[in-house]
Amino acid sequence: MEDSVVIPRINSSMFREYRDRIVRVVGQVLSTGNNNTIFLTTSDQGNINVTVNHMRAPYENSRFVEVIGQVTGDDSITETSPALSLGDNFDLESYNKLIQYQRKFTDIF
Amino acid sequence: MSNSNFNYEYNNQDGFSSSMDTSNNARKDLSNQNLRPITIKQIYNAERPVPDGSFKINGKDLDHISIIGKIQNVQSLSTNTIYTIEDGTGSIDVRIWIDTNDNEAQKRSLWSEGAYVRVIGSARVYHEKRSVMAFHIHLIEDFNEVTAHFLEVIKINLEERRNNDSFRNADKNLPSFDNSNYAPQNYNDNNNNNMESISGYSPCQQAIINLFKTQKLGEEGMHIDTIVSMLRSRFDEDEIKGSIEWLVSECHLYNTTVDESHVNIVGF
Repeated sequence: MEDSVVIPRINSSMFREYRDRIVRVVGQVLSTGNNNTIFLTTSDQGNINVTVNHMRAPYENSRFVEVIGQVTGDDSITETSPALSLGDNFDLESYNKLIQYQRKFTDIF
Repeated sequence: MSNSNFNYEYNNQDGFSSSMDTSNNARKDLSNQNLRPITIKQIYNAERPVPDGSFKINGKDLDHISIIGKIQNVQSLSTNTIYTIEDGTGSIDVRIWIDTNDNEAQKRSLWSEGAYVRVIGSARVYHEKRSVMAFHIHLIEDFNEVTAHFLEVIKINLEERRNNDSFRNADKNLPSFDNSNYAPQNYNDNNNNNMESISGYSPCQQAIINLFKTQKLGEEGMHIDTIVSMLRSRFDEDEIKGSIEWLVSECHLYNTTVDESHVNIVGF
């Protein structure tokens, strides 16, 4: 249990609370830009920018992605693992409900 | 004979079955087994009242479990493969035996770190560490399954706590002073930790919560218009509707499956 790794699911409104921690964020790709910054709309309709340290392909190949990274500001995150394509058919609204519900069940999440 | 093997293997998880037992007992245990979606944190938090006995969550034996998470690490050994799986609540080692006749094993060998998988198995203790012995692992391709999995975990937990509560406090469901809104302190609330912070609510929000608590509602919940008509004498319609909206957005109430106009309380 001591070596259990926890990468919580959060949305943009929780960035402040999770500053410097490694988290997972799901969002819709807004624009891929030219450099290593990518803009996402998160499940709670917030806009964040992702500093990409791995492949750009997951962002270019699908509408929805899951990012694992370190929160570096109120609307910014830096990848610590490659992003994952979630395809073009992902229900962001339900996902956001899950994030809201899970905060009520701290013995489970 | 193959059937008895099946019983033996699945019962052996607690380490008590030492023979190929095909007695009624073994069969009965098998029929009682269910498949429960859980989080990794729940595996670590599960109680084990009897050493080497089965794990329990909310007083229920943990039989077959289903977890969904991302592969963090793969360790291939000669007879089995160990995947470290992380699901947002924790990480745990999942061991699956390699069956050389198994086509699945070939498919699995292609999976690597970062892939989402569903694991069906049972919780174990191995070298004093909790882990999962998998019967089956498959790749997640539709990621809505991930959301659905965790929502189901919450639903099961709510149902169990509500059932345990009504069983333990059966007598408290009878009308009594303690049960009424006029009691100085509502003793039935001892399990409603989520509702405990009730002092932070407006009188109208509070009244809506109390209304739900005093009604015996089915899964369909209550129509918003019904709530409005029941509280109209104390609050105006817009305030009631606004409060309902707020309680939904804060997850105290939820829209039931009937339609958008029906809500029910999140509680036990």
